Order: sequence, then C-alpha cells, then structure tokens
Amino acid sequence: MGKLLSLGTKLKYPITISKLLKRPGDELEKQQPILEYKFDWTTTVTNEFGDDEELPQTTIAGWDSPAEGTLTKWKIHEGQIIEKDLQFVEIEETCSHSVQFAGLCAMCGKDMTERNWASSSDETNRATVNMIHDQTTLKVSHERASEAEEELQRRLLKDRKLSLVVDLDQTIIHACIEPTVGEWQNDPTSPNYEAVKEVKAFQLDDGPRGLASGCWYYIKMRPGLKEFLVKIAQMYELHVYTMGTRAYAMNIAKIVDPEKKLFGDRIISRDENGNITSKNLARLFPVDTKMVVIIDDRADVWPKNRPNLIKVVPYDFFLGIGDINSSFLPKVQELPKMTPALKKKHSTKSEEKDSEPKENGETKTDGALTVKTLTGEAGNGASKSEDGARISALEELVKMGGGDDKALREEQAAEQEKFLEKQLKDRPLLHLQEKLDREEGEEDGAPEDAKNGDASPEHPHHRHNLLKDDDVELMYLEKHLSQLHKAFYDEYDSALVNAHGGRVAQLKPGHNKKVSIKEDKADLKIVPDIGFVMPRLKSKTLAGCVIVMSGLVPLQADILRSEIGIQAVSFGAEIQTKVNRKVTHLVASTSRTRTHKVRQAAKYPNIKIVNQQWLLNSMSKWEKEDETPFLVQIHDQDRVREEGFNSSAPSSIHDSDESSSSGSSEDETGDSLPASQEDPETDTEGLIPDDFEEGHSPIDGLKEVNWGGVDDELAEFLGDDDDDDDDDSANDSDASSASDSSRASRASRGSRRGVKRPVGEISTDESDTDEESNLTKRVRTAKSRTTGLKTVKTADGESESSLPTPGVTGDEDKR
Amino acid sequence: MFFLYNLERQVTLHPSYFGRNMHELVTGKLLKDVEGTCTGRYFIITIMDTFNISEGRILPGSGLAEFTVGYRAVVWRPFKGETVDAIVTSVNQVGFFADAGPLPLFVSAHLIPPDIKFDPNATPPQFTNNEDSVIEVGTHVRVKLIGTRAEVGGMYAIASIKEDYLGCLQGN
Repeated sequence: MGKLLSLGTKLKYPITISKLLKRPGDELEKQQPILEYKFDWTTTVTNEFGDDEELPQTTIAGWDSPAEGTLTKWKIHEGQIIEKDLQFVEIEETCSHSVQFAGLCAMCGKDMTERNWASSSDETNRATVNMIHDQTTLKVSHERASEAEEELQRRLLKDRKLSLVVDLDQTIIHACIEPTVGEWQNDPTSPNYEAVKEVKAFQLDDGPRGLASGCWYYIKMRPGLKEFLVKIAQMYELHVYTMGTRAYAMNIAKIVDPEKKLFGDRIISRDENGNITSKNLARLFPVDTKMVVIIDDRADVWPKNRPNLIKVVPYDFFLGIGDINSSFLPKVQELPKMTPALKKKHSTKSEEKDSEPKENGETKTDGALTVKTLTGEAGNGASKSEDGARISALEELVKMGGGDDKALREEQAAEQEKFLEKQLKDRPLLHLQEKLDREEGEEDGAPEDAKNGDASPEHPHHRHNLLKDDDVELMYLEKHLSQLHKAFYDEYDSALVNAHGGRVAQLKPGHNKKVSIKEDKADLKIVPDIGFVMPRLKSKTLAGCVIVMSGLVPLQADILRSEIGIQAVSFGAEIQTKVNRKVTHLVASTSRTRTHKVRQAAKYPNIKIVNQQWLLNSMSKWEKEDETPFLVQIHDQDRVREEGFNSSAPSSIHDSDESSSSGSSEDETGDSLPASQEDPETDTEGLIPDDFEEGHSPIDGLKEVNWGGVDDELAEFLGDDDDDDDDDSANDSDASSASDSSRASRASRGSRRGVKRPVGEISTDESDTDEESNLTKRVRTAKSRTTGLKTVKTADGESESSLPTPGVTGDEDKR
Repeated sequence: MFFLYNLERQVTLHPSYFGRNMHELVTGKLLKDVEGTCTGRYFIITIMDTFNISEGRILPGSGLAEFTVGYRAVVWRPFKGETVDAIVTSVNQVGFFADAGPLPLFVSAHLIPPDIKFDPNATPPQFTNNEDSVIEVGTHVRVKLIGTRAEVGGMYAIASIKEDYLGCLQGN
C-alpha cells in the first residue's frame, strides 16, 4: 500500500530540487532528510548610507520524512523547479496505524499522540472509527472498518442472517425499582402475585447514588420473549443497544440470555455510545447499514437510521413507571397522552371524579394516567408522556445537544437519580393498587364495558389486579421480522441470478445455483439494502390512505415532522393538513371528537373518521386494520349540520359542549380557512375568503348562502357570550348582512386570537356607504354598551336572522 | 518489571488529628493516597515501610500540618519488550483486551499467530486454532509488550502473542 507524500504548503515556492538523498528501495526513518532543495529569496539590509538595499539570497534546505517505510518511487527529479505543493514521492509504510488503542498503534506499538516537526498531521486521525461494542478506546481506520464489515456481511450472507439491533427498556423488557413489586412477589395472596412472580430482580453495584443506591431492579420480560428471541436468532444476529449503563445492560442480558447464546458480547450501552441523546447505527456498523434492522420503542432516538427501524409499541407492564433510563433520552413527543383520554370517555363518571392527580399533580397527563390505570386498561405509553413531563426541565439541556457533554451527562444522571428516588418514595404502583381495590369495592355491580370500541389486544377482561401480562406485540414483531428476512433474501437471490448473466447462464447445463451463490458472495454490491426493503414492505400497509390528523399534534407543530406523521408516512400514508375530497381517513384524537376538522370531515361520506388507535394498530400490525371498531362517534350536532344547514341548532348545547373542549376548537379554527375554500358550495366557512382584507368584498357571490348556518357558526365562535343585544334591527339587505356577518365573524375571530383591530379598517369602506346612517346608529348603541364582543346576537328563527354586530367592528369600519 | 523504590511525598494532616499517634495517621494517610496509583511512569504496588517522617510544619492560613515522608515502595514499571501474564477481559474481531494487573492492554489480530482465528459464532466469541489454544474472556495469556503509553492516572499497552511461548496458558 503506497502512500504519497506531498511537499506541504509552508515551503517558499518556487523551489529547485538540488539533490535526492534516497533511492527507491531505501529505508526511510521518521525525521530523516530525504531530499535537498534550494530556493531564492531576498533580505533587506541597511547599507552605510542609511538606505535599504535588497539582497538576493539562496538557501539550501532539507526535507524530512514524516513517515517511516520504504521509498518506492520518486515523482520528481534533480534540478526540477517546483512552483507549488505537489505529491512528489511514493513510499511503502511500515505500519499503517489503522488500529489504535488508547493512542497506541495496535500493530506496531508506537505512540500515536507524539507529534514532531516533521509530521504533517496527527497520526491519531488515521483511526477514528469506533466499532467495538464494549470499548471506546479502540479505534480503527475507515478501511479496516469496511473490511471488518465486509467480512461480517459475508458471514451473515452465508448463514442467511441479518443483523438485528435490539433496544432493552420497554422494547423487550420493562424495568422498575418500585419496592412494592418485591413485596407482591413474596405475597402469594396479592392480586398481582401471578403477574409479578416471573419478574426477575438484581442489584447494581455502580448504580445510582443516594437514596436509590443498592436498590433492587425488577425486570419483567415481555411475554413470549424467550421464544421470540430464540426464533429470531435463527434469522438475525442480535445486538443489544441500550441507553442504560453497562452494568445494567449486562445484568439484563444475563436475565434474558443466561447462556450468552443470543447476544454474546454484542452489547452496547450508554457508556460506550458516545452520544447521550441519540443512538446511531454508525457506532456499530460504521460503513454500511444495509443488513441491519433495529427494533426500538422510540423512533426519535434514531434520527439517522429511520429506514432500518421497526418501531415497537412500548411495553408498559409496571404502570406509570415508564422507562427508567429515559432521562438520558430526548423528551418523548406528547402524542401518547391521547390514549388514556380514549379510555376516559368510556370510564364511568365516578372514576372520572376520582381522577384528581394525586402523586404530583402538575400536569393534566397525570390525571389522565390515573383514570387509565383505574379502569385497568393497559394502554400504551401513557406513562411515557408523564415521564416527558418529568424530564421537561432537561429539555433545553438536551436541545443543546452535546454542547458540554460532561455537564449534561451529570445533569442527566442527577435527573435519573431523582426519578428513581421518587419511585422509591412514592411507590406509585402501591397507590394505584390500593385505589383499584377501593374502586372495586365501590362499584362491584357496574360491569365493565368490555367492548368499548377498542379492539386493542391489550384489552383486559377482568380488573382485579393492577398489572396485566397480556402483551402480544412480540408476535407481530416476529411476523414482521421473518417477513422482512424473507423479502431481503428473496431480493438477494434474484439479484444473484441476474448478476450471474441472467437466465441464459442459469439455464446452461452444469450451472448450479449453489455455485453461483458461493461465487457471488464476493460481490457485495448486489446485496439489497434493508433501508429500501423495509420501507417498501411497510409502505404497502397504508398505501392509498390519505390521512388528516386532528387533535394529535399541537397546532403550531408541523405534522409532517411530528413523530406520528413521520411514521404514518413511512407506512405509505399520505398526510394532509386539511380536509378535502381526496382524504380517506380522518384520525381524530378520542379526547377531542368535535374539532373543526372532524366536523368538516363529517360532511364527506367517504371519509372514515377513526381514532388514533386505528392508526397505531395498523402501524403495529403492518396491516390496514378494519376501521369499523375504531370509528369515532360523530356528535349529533355535527351530523345535523352535515344534513342541512337550515336546522339551526340550539346554541345552548353548543356552548356547553364547546366549553369543555374550547381549547381544541380554538386551535382548529386557524386551519379552517383555506380548507373551506376548496369546497365553497358545501362549506359555510367559504364566507371568509383569504383575500378579503385586500379590499375586495366578496359578498356578491354569497347571496344564496343560508344564514342559519352562519349564525350557528358565529354562535359557536363567540361561545356563551350571546346574552344581550336583542334589539338589533332586522337585516337590511342580503348584501349588507353578508358583509356585516363576515366582518363580524372575522372580527370575532381576530379578537379571540388577541388581535384588537382587524387590518381591514379602511379597505372595506366603500361597500358599506349606503347603509351609513343605519350602521352608525347601531354602532353608537353598541358603543354605549360593554365590550365589543359581548354584543352578539344569535337568531333563534329564520325570520329574525339578523346579524350580530360587534360594536367595535362596526365602529372601525365606519371611521 | 518490579522495583523497590525510595520515594518521598508531602502528606498533610488536619489539626484535629494532632496528637500522640500522629505518625501512624500520617502513614495511614500515605497508604491511602498512594498505594495502587499510577504516576504516569510506574504503578505503586505497595508501600513497604516509611523510613523518615519529617517534623510537621503548620501551613499558614489553613492550619494543616505538612509532613515530608520518605517511604519505600514496590513499583511496577511495564517496559517495552517485557513479557507479562494477563487475563483476557474482552474479545472481538479486531483483537482481544486483557488486564495485566493494573495495566490494560490490547492484542490486535495482527499480533496473534495466523493460525489462531477469531470465531464469532462461538459462545462466547473466541480466538482459537481449533486445538489447544482457545482465547476467550477469562483466559490467562502470556503476552509481550510491544508499546506502552502513559496518561495521567493510567497506562496502556499494546502486546503480542505472535512469538514462541506466548499465548494461552491454560493448555499447559
């Protein structure tokens, strides 16, 4: 392996090569001169008259070898004039220093951190890739890494295997340190005895300090884990990649795989990860991730390897505990908190009353969580969002993303410690069980609504014990993994055949397929990439679905960047932000079934309005689920509106409903504008086009619009403030009322968002001039009253459908 | 290589310990501070005895007493070319790690005889020539140090088993 040396930029070019000191075949040592060169320069000398005089000078210098080895070839000759930096000699190095251990070359034993004047670059830069699971001190060069990886791929291809990177916490196990678990284990009379008797425990020597030191870790394996791993290990080579400490990871590996048959030593933990907030396949497979699959319950920690990732539904056995190592991960996105709300809807009133947050009543999530656990329904990830709330203080630190790794790491460790201590002190499980027992006593008669529209496999059938061991995610996972394995090798086989001269070569006598495989192993280029195979498989799941989400992602967040959005897209769905004809599914949050989007979607019979469980289940099963069990019940009011706008609904009902979910409807309002424009004939919102504020009054096209609907809408917007202003004059003409109403609703919209005065003050002037007297009168009356927005009037009959005239708005328009 | 080495160290003592058994306390503190550390050139394995404890000097400002203690210690300095015994701690395709007492060392696959190959499918993974030599975690190996490097508080070494009489010790 030849290495080219270059002269370097620091020489005073042009230079003349005066002598080559070494001949090809000569041994070179470090810092030994290998050629002589001369260069001309000038020096300024002051002569005896005090004048500056420039004297030409010629200097001869030597060039010292920065490397050691054997000279193979000169690319220059004596006497040559060189104008600029170039590579001038080829040498064969004694050692390429491509494997380094703690700053030492692992091949020749030389210290790589030594620097001297002859060396051009740091020798440690020659080996930068970290590819060993349990060490960070050993680094190899990129070439070595790819060699090793090629070797690995060949071996895997020979065994017809793939690599599988497995996460621990909440993916294949669930851990907690809640001492209650230990008590339940020792108490056969406990209702949870059955569930926890399989739980394994261990202690960590180097675990957290303080109160949590020496605590027991309780590990629950996901149901069917052993069988799953044994089966999967026939198709995959398994690696563990966890954000727990090394000792923790080793202990869990000991529990999951006591004989070290499955994972061997292929375990990487946070101590060796090199990054505290995210995982990266490049840490294990620095060159090529073609044959790697990941299973993890968190997709966001794999920012660079999403195509290789199978997201697993988090395993949440010890309710309310979450991931005990989550302090080291970025905050989880808030989506899962919807799930408990789904249960909330079906839970009984008494439970709801009981649901005051009791442990750390900071967030709404906690309340929802309590409800969820009370009903005994094992949803997924509710506790994770609770976790999220807990580590929110860390959020900004995490965002700094390794600015000061050490400080951050300490911070996170402290955070985790706090979290663990809290668990020890608070004993959330014990409380929950107590509560459950009490609940049971109270409402023994009330049978549980077993068919609450949630066909999720985690659905419980009885509710005596808090902890349920009925997770079936691994079954799906096994199916997916074998499916993927098959798809990968199918593709590989067909590529093999093609690479070998196609059918003709195949049909040649004596051409045996076995042979071709063996030969072609050399050519790794034809190996398909999991990063393409898996997305292709996945994208069949929801292909053709055009999905709009409602209430699942905060309004200001970009749905396409949100976790659920990215995932849905990866499963082949098309995500839209607005409801229109092409949309096939509206995925609505179960807690907010009356958002604007839901109402819009209700108008299209082809849109299936489902709850998020449909989406989650489909993505978990890699199959489009039947929508029927997940259909969201459309509120009667919304149905009515769908049939005809003539029947204006009693606004009182609206008000009460609206106040309960006012937050959501407010959020959704912003979206409605452009959406409604697409379907002006069916949509009342079409009254307010975008360009209204540019001075063009759109009233002409709107004469046929039914005003009952408009009033309804307005009443909703303005909430329960429609008490006064009964004496509004009947409307003057279609045109004026139209402009008024649209203005009014616009104004109301504006003020709801905290904008006092709409921009269109001057622009709308002309269209109203003929009603001036009438309007000014009304404006005066309005002004004499209280605030502008209170002056809302709703029609309670067709005849009197006069329009609410918020004082402020009218006022402005007239000035 | 092991050496018996005369060393000197400043030991400070808190005023609350001033009293009759001060010298014992100084010795105890010396043992605690020094034994098992790495100076960057050698490891201090054990302190044989202290032969000279100077008179204490009160440090102005803090009130601590400072003693200059001369002591004799067994130190171990790994040399390039030295042969040591070590216990394997981790095995991977690039080579294996081993600990020679306090010294972590690495033997790369280049410095392992070509007939001893890495077998990733074995449990646990091992280097083996499919005969008497099996190098896996916990194996005792005899290695020759090829290079060493010192950092504050620690040393590292590269070693080889690609010579006669080196390698796995369990067979013999």
